[in-house]
Amino acid sequence: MTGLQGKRILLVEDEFFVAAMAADMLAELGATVVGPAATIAKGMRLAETEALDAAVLDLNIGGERSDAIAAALRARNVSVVFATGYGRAGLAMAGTAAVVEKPYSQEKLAEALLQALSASA
Amino acid sequence: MTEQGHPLARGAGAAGNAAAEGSGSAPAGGWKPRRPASSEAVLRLALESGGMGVWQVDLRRGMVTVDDRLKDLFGVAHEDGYEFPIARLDRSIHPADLPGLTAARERAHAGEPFAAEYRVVLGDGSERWLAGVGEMQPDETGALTYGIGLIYDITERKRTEGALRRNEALLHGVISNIDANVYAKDRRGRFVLCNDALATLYRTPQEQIIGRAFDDVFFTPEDAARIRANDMAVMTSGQSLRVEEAAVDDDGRERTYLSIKSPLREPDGSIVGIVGVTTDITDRKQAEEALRASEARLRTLLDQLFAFVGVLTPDGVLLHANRAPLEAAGLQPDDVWGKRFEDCYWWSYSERVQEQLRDAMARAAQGEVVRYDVRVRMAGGRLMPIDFQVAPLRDNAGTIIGLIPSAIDIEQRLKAEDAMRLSEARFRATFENAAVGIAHVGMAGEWLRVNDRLCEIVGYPRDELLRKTFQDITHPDDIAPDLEKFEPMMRGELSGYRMEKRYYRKDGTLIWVTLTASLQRADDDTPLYCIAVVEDITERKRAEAALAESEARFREMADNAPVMVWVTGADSRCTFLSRSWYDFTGQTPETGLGFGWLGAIHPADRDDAHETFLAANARCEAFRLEYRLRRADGAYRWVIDAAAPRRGGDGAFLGYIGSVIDIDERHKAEEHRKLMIDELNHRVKNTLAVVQGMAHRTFKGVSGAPQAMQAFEGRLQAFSAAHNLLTRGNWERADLAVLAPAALEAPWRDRRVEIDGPPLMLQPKQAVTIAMALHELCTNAIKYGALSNETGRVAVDWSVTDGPRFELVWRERGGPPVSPPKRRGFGLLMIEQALANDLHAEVTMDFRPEGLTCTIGAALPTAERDTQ
Repeated sequence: MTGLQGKRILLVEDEFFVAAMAADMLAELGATVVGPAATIAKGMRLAETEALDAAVLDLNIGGERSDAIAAALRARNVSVVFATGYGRAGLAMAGTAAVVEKPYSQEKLAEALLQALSASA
Repeated sequence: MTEQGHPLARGAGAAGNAAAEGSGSAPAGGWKPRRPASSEAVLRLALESGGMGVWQVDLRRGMVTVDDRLKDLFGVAHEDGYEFPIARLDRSIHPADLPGLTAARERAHAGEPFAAEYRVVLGDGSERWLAGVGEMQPDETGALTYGIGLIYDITERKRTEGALRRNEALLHGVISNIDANVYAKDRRGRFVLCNDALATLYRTPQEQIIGRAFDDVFFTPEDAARIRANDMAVMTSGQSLRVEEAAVDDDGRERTYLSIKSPLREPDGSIVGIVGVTTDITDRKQAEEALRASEARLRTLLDQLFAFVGVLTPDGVLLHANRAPLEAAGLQPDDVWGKRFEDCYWWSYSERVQEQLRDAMARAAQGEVVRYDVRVRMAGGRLMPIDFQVAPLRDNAGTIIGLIPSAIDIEQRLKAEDAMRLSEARFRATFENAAVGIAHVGMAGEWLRVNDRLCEIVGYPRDELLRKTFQDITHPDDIAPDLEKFEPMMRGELSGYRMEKRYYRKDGTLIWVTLTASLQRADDDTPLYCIAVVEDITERKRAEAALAESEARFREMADNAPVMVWVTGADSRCTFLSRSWYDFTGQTPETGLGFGWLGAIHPADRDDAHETFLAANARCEAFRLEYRLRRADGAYRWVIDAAAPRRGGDGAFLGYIGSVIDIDERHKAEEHRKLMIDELNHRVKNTLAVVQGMAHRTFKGVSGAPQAMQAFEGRLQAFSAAHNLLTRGNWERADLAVLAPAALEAPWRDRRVEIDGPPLMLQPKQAVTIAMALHELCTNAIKYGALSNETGRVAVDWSVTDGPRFELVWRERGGPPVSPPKRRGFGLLMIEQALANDLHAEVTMDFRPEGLTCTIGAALPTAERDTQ
């Protein structure tokens, strides 16, 4: 679990229980959770303003896609992991980004984040 | 003889002696006989003369004394006296004869007897021939000055002599110019006469032939001996002989002569030689020989043919017969001539035949000509068939005086007839047994002869059909086309023809036939009749019509079907596109057929479609394509193009028939459904995530909760994974071969689980249940079983058995020793109960020491269950 130790990770998730669980999982992994943001606007603000190593973005935030946030993060060279319930279709929409399927376990989340971090490193 | 006393008798002056004239002036008057003996001589002459004129001449006086008879002969008037100057009488003599007379007188003056013949020309211009004879007598001086003689009329003799001379000239002309050799020979064979022809034959001048013996030079001794024998025969018998004589000519060639030889007689009848006329008949002989040879050949021929001609008495006795039938039967004339005809050897083999002959002869004797075929007995007993006839023989009055039997050999004819009958029989068999209708048709189209099959085809009894023409039963529209060929053929301009035509059967139904007509010609090549071969093709026509109708129906159906229909040939080229295709794509047959239809396919789909189409053609397999097809308005529509191979009766690949269905609406609906399923899945998984989050929050900080939470999360993950697979299968099905690795993700990737089994489609509910069961088995193995140490392994395999059922076996090996658990945890209970409940499966859990073996058996999902 040391791979994520001290990493600042933005969490954008509009479902409260999912966001809370993900925050717990990341905290347990030693990471610092930025957010969680439940809207695109808040997520975008955090993505543009906070110092970040990576981000876990729910692809669909209140019916809006989080592509814009991902683009902003990539512009800042921040690794992005999409979390989605869309399965294959969701993967296709996520382009080249790392994806973790909902519902995810702590291991899968960590795996996806480490993959994203190594890819952008 | 009154003249005897006439004074003239004394002093008859001869007319004759011209010598008197030449003697100068004759003594005028005073002539007196100086020798009385002379009177006796005159008397004798007078007696001898028998009416001839008597003359005396006195050369010294140049006077001649004539009697009345002489005056008549010379045309001198009686009143002029009896003594005239010689010159006076000479005036009456024909000038042409004077020189000869003068010469005769001079010879007489020299002492020779006087003889002369001369003509006198009388006062009326007529001529008479006279002959004078006499002699001169010496006077006292010894000079011959007195002559006495007779003159007589030889006019008749001269006329006869002239005729003879003319005849002789004529004869000479004839014998000289005749083609035959004419000759006369004396008793010793010497030629006394020969004509030019003989001279030419002997190549010797006539003069040299005369006097030579014929056998001297001209003949070989053998030929000469034969000729002499003939000549002697003529001379001995005194009869004419007509004989052929052979002789070798100068060129060595054998010649044949026909000689007619007659005796040559003296006036007293004695035979002094022969007169012959000989003609060369060699050429004629050769012609005769040739004729004889030819006749012999003919006779041989006739004899071989057994031509019989005989003569019978009216009551049947054989008087004569030609040779051939005798020889053929080995008979001599004596064996049969004079016998009753029916008793002759020829008929001896059968009493019935003899009786027949007797009867025939009896009828012929009544004036009938009887003719029949019969057999005659030949040498060796062989019987030969003949055409026999017996006819009456009548005399001029019409009375029957005999019978003429005649016969010719008909063996060859019968053989030919037999052959003909055989051939006829064969023909008849062919004709009658043929599977096709056969007929002979006359010039006007009348049926002359028809076989059973034809009667069957047209449905007429034979006798009824034979009273009709082909025109009578032909469909009106087909009569003219038929006659167009039939008539020229019957004129011999066409040897045959073939056509399809219609007949009306007797029952009125119309039938189709193929007519093959050909012309039969007579030996002399003139058209005789038509041989018609008729095949009933009604069924074929019906099939053709049905086919045409079926094709029309197909077209109509294809054109009006909601789908587009196409047909390709074995060469892959499109041969048919339904109207709906043209309506849909706006293509025309020109742009669509062949491979043009590819042009209507979306460029992005075209290559794949083409490739699939060609690959299917290569394998002659059915195929199915989905592509976007351009509509006439330019919009593309998704279509399904499904095709099945067309095969001929022999199984040969003929191409495809395919249908194209516009599935654009369905395609869109499908897309939409996928989207909806994805969305649903997304929401389900989001919900699962929320549930997970809620559980996380709920049990956060609770003692013992982390293990429970972990088990919960694992189950949730497995459930979610099964959902993902089902989403991929549109929630219709999931493949166990895909599902199992997904459910056993980590251990499978670590190669501690071996999965083996065929693709097996499961219903969504089965899929979820089996995925959960595999998850629980795996969790159990990680906690307690084969995956709880470092070496254990798990084998998962399944198979399909009859039923159909499937059986899945989970087998753990290499783990810690196993003993059956005292208490089943949630996982194992879930396996047993959920499987039994959801799949109606039979589950056995065998806790063997070497490892757990779990067997799950269940019925395979059926199509019905699949539709839930």
